[in-house]
Amino acid sequence: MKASYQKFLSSVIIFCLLFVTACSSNATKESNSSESPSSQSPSGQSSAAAKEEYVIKILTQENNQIKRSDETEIGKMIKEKFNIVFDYVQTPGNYADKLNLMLAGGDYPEIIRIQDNATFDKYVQANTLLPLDDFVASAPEFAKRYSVQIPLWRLASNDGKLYKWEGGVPVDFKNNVEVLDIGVRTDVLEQQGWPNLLSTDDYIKFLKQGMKDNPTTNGQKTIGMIVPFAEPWGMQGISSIMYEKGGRYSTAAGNMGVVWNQVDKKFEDMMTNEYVKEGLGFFNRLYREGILDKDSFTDKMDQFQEKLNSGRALSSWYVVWGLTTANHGLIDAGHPENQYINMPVRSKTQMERNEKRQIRVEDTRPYTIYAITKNAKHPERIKELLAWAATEEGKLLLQSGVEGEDYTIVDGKRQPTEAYRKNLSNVDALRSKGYGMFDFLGSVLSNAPDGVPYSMELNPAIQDELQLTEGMRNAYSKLGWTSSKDYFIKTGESANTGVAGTITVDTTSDLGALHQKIVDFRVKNSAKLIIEPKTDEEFESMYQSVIADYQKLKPETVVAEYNRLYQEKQARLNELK
Amino acid sequence: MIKAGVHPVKRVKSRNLVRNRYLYAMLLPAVLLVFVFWYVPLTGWLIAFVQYRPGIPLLSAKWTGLQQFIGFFTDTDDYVHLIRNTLAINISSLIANMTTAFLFAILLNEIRWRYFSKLIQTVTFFPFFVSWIIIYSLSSAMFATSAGAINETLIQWGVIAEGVNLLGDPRYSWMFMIALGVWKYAGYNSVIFISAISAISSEYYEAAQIDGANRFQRILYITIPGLMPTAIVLLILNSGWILNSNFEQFYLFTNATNWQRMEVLDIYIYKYGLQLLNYPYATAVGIMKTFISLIILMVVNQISKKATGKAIF
Repeated sequence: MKASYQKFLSSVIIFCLLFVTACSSNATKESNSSESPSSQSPSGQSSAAAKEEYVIKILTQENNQIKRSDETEIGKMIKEKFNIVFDYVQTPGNYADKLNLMLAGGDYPEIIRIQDNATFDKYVQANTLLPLDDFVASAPEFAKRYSVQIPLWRLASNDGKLYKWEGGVPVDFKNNVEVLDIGVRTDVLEQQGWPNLLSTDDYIKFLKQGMKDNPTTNGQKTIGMIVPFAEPWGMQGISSIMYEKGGRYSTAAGNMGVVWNQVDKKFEDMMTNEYVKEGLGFFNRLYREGILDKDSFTDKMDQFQEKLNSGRALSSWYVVWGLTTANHGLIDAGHPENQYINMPVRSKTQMERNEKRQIRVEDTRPYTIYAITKNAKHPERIKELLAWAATEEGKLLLQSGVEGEDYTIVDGKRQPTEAYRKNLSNVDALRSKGYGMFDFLGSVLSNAPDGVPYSMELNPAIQDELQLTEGMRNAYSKLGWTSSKDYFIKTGESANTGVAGTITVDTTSDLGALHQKIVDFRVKNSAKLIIEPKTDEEFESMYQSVIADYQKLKPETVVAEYNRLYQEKQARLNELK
Repeated sequence: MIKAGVHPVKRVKSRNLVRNRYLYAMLLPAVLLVFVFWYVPLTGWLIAFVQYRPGIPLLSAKWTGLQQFIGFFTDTDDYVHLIRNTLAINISSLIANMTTAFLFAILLNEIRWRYFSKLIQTVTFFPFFVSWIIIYSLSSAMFATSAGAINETLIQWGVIAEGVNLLGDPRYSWMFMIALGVWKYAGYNSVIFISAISAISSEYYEAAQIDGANRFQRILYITIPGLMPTAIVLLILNSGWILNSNFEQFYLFTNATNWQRMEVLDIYIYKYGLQLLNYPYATAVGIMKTFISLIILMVVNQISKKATGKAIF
């Protein structure tokens, strides 16, 4: 018995040893394979060894079925040309927290996406990113493509070096009129005679009537307005966003402690901003009237999307970029009448002043920062690919697809094929092709030399035709608009972010800590101001009390620092010019 | 005769060491694990006393002394709601979890049909394996004010006019967290009490039965006193964790409307340490938390020793 027990134990130990050895030898092999190609020429030309398959992990929050880039048509071409494959790793949850955790643990991917200037600053200060200055000198098309951006990107780092590139820039204003206001259900608009809603009073009256006329929708209780406030950017970003709807301010400063006054070229405090106050007051009224969904404060995008897809919400605040997808779902579900369209909103003061809306045109886009980290095994191969992505060949393939399949040339201009148009309403088909799967190589919202945007669906002449459903186009037509952007273009003007988009206070400094505190204060008290006051007078009284507490934090020191940095960086930019 | 130069006690100890060498060898991995994963990381406490940030060597960071510790109490009054929330929720949870597990074990022990007893035990044990993220999703689906199944049903039946906001209303936050903890851990915690009941000699029950004690009296005079030593040990051990909150639970359930009743020390440390990368401040708060926990543990142990004569040290 004892002998057989010993034999069994020995077998288990031997099995474990073999298992461990097998795993380690695999790891060694992988490690060797990734080490070997590192011997490259300084010029960036890869040696034969470097052409071994190079798999790079890309963190993604897109819920897609594609696991590796070589499952897509464009990905196959990239693999053929560079033998590089991207492995998409799903990273659900709070991405900003993940970036911080990865930084703390030193476990960041080879190519990293960062979504704000403050986190980028943390990565730069922690010495985790590779400088790209030499690369730019050897990649003329990259330098040309980002000629406006590169000086601004350099300003974003504390040592003046270039560490990043960004997606979504450069932008041609006409291709991307970025207006995200209120998604409104078209059947309710029809019921009330297609009103051109604009003021906050208009919305309250409209939604109250809408809820009265439609107590239920498709068998479920109707909800007045939905907002995903529980997202990390929810209460922090979109509860205060009313400031961008009228004149003066744009979102160039992000949604932290300050707002950017586009007209006077200066930063101002966000919490005390009059439009921010009006925005909170608007939400308070919606809450009091029972229009604002009480689940908004606990709803994340999943719950928000579910309510939108069911059609039971009469309106949605700010998150309107998924309206077309939701509308396709509603059509498929047999409720085409419940489709939504994006409509403008303005506060009372904004209505009175009637100033031109400052529609942000991003010269830099801190939301889609990309960088090569020091964990990159073969940075030269990544740079080689990056340089190619900036060429005409790269840009056209990544954003327009293949000639003959996705576009044809008519009178020297690209014209989307029927297959391309069909794919636009099918996210899976777009991903199978590879569109949107390589944004980390840089995607531009500007025009190609033929005058057509690299992403053809952005062409203003056919944008609505390609991006909206028929029901949406009809609704705009009933409102008397010539296009979905008609009102906004007539009443707004382009507002280039310039240097303002690159400013951030040193996150490790005392002022950086204070900046975080004032943001925290605003986030915590915004919910209180929306929920607690029972009358306008109570709102005013509570607001004054909150502001009195807020002033004790001395937020003006942070605002002053932002303005000082702006002046300093603007002077540096002028010198560079 | 004792050999010159070797103390008799030392000789007994070394003989004991040799005799039990296999036992000590078996203990060694556990000691090493505890040392490596619990004591070595304590060197990281140095971060609280220097101006550290990721990317710079710890030893070259500027010395700041007790600045972070003082800052916690003087810069803001955050510590007031943090300590209040942490203590209120954790003490209530501890009492609720232990009481329900205690009662549940007693009631389960009284079920004579063993299969039914095992079924109940398995069903109540199951929530322990459900992750907090799933619990959050379920809670959202069940208790959301406008779209939650329970609120929708109650409104449809005319029981309530408006949904109860369990997830967002700070008035319900503590109660809701405690209730979820009870639901999740009752089955798991009761296992310890069930095993303690099985250790009570059946002779006591037989003697009581002969003396005419009914079922309730047997519970009152045999089962409960028999469980008390286990309950006290569990109470003392758990009191050391009284400032430790279940991170996932609070991370998921804290939102913009209930934060003033939900923000606990662990979330605060996470926020400053990992979200804002203010490691020195977060470490200082963590150190204070450790020392307060240690003091609470010692106090509870002493109280127990004096009140019941039972203690763990």
